Amino acid sequence: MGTNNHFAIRKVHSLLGIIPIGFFFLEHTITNSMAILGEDMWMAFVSFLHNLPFKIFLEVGLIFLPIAFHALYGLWIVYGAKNNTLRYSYFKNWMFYLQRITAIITLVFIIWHVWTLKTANLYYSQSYFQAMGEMLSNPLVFAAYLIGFLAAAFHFTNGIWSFLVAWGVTVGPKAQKVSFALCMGFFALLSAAGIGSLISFLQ
Amino acid sequence: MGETIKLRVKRQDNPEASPRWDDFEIPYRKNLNVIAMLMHIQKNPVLANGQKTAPVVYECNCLEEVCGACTMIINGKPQQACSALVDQLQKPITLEPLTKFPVLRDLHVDRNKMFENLKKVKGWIDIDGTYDLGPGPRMAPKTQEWAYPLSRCMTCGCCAEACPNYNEKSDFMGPAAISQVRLFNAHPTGSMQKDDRLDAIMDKGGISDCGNAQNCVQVCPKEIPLTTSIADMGKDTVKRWISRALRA
Ligand code: HEM
Ligand code: SF4
Repeated sequence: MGTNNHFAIRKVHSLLGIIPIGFFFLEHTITNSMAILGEDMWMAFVSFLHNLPFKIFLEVGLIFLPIAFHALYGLWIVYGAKNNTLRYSYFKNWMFYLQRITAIITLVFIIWHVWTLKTANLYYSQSYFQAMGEMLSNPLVFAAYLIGFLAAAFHFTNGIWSFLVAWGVTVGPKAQKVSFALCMGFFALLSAAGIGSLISFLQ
Repeated sequence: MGETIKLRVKRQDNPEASPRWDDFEIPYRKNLNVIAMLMHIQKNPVLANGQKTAPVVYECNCLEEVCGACTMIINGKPQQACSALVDQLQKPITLEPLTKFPVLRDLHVDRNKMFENLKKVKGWIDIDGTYDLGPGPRMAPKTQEWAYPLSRCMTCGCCAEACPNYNEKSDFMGPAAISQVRLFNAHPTGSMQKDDRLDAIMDKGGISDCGNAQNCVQVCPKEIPLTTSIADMGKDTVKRWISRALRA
């Protein structure tokens, strides 16, 4: 064998979902949840990240390229499935379908989110925090953030479950059940942090 | 005539023909199964409206759910017609050919891809060739007992039929062949080709195309722990991948 890199590509796609993309998502959620503790705390975290040395290399190497690869190859995977939840409406099949639906929502959200914030360049406005609040006071924007965040959080946490199966960590059905419960607990935790921070910007 | 059972069959006359639905009414008797209904149509090929028709084409062989030949979609789910008991089915009963394999005629499909995938993964134990290789190592009774459920696979294709990633857009070999790798790799003689089998499921269409929808384990008529097999082979392929890379 070894005539193609199919296995390697799939494994890299799977691994990128956790390292670095998953870790970045976690860091991003924690940073923004500081908004719950107030403007100063949030601004302290954001400034720290904003002033990291070699920021452009970190952004491109640890965030943009991994997401671009995971998303592009992920779209190919989404295309490759013939979803059949209506005929086989088993729970795990719905999770498989949701993993793909949330992938698309996350992709659209990330592109819009990064594009609008980079072009608005709010960091140098009077108050970055208030500028975020103003933006989110538009109910459509708020709804987009809510849906986009929840989709990403589900995709990430359900992806951890799937990652553990794909790499042979959780082998038996019981282990997979327990890991799913833990992943969904993690989803609930992330959701609380994400929704909490979105609301906090509104004051 | 006494009680009758309504039967709807999705038919097509040849691989290129477009499908149509035909209605039949079959006299009920106790313990009737779907194969017996198709045999009745074979003897008396008449539609519910009295019109004569060609007998419905289907495959069958063992009639005891061990060969997989009569696999078709019964009331929306893939299963064997021989073990599908009319008393347990909702009426009218609908029969369709499997959708993931080319239809030859009516309910008769070509499951060749299933067997090709078994060949790809060397789904067998090598035996003596042109000369006697001598006795092989013995298999512990405990391992035999463990392996037995996996050995019950009849390559029927139900798992592939239900799998969202097994379709004409993808090369995925489906769950059955991966589970057979687990079976033959656990055999003391079979394990001599262990790496060859792992390499085969690490190729295009192999194990990494599984997306964990886990429909396979729900529909397998032999209750084979397919998702456990896949995760177990997931672990072995990752180990093989790393070892291959470090020894390259
Ligand atoms: C917010 C960023 C994202 C994160 C944190 C993330 C995370 C993950 C993780 C952890 C997995 C599990 C890998 C496995 O099953 O082995 C995964 C799978 C997947 N991701 Fe993402 N992902 C992200 C964005 C995307 C995007 C934008 C797409 C595509 C448009 C995508 C498509 C997929 C698909 C299709 C799978 C399933 C792979 C499979 O089951 O084989 N992901 N993702
Ligand atoms: S694993 Fe089960 S469903 Fe799949 S081919 Fe074998 S017997 Fe049929």
